[in-house]
Amino acid sequence: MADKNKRSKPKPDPKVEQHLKSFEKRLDTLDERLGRFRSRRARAQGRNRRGTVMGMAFRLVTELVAGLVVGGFLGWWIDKWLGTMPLFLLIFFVLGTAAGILNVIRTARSMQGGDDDGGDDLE
Amino acid sequence: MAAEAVEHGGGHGFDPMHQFEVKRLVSFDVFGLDASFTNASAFMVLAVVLISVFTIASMSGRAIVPGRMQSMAELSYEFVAGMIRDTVGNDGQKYFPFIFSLFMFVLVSNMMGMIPYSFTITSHIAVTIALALVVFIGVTVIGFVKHGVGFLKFFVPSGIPSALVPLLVVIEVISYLTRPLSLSVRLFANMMAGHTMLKVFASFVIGLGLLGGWAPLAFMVAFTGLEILVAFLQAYVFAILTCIYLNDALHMH
Repeated sequence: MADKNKRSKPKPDPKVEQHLKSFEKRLDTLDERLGRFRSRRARAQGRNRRGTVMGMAFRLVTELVAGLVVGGFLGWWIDKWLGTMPLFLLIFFVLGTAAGILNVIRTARSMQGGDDDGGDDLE
Repeated sequence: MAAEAVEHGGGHGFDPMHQFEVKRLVSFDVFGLDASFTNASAFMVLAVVLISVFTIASMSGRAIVPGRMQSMAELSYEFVAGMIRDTVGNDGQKYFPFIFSLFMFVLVSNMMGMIPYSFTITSHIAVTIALALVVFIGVTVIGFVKHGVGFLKFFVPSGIPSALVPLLVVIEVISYLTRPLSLSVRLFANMMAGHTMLKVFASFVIGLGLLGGWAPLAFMVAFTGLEILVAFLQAYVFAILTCIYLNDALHMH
């Protein structure tokens, strides 16, 4: 191989030429290996995304329940303070449900919109 | 407990929640408050020591071409820095030390919990809600410092009929108040559920013995891998939600 190079391009130093050639070859193998690695990682990422569906569901449920709990607690606290026991508890329970649903909508929207971003960030 | 253990046929008293027990190592009493140094405190100190040793020792070389440890430290730095740049923007870099500490603390606590016989700090809601409240109060203070009273406009949604405004403001305030709760419950529940599940399946391995124990054992190996992923993912989620809340406070979307 080195001989052929010498004939086509007689000017450069054969040693340098050989060095360059081997460097190119190494670069090619590196590219090949990188490609293999990337495709493997892409596959693994696809698997991860399927795995986090449970995580997504869990996140949404947490948001909803947190709304209920905070609303209920606020209502109970105001009732205890003003001595109007069931009134504010009921009102804030409903408001807490609304807040929970609002949170779920927001989280779901960020999940849909930022799906690609989120996946890339996980690397 | 003993009767239950006999019923399970598990031999010694088996309790999947035993691993979460907080034990006093050194008893302290500060003006009637129980401020004992517990195994939870010990593991928190251990986490802080591990992170400090990891970051300080690996960066002490300051090599231009980093070695293994330095690469890991730089990787974690760049990971968090990139996360802040993407979600908050450049003016978020000021808060990098806080978010980096938070992320590393949660990550190392979660990972330490994966070592058998260790204690998982983040499986206690007292710990996670304390972290979440620091984030919540800090972010709210930043919002008010940055925008003054104008930060209250954050709770007034735009483009709705004025008759509905009072109702929606209340709902928005409740929605804002749920942040620390959902942040802490998510981390705590994930860690506790995973560890309890591991313990329960470990008891199946013993219970089914040499003949049937292989199936739950294989499951456990796979599940341990998943748990390590969850440990990282939850630390990531905790940090990125902190960034998102910080972004809300700084820019009031």
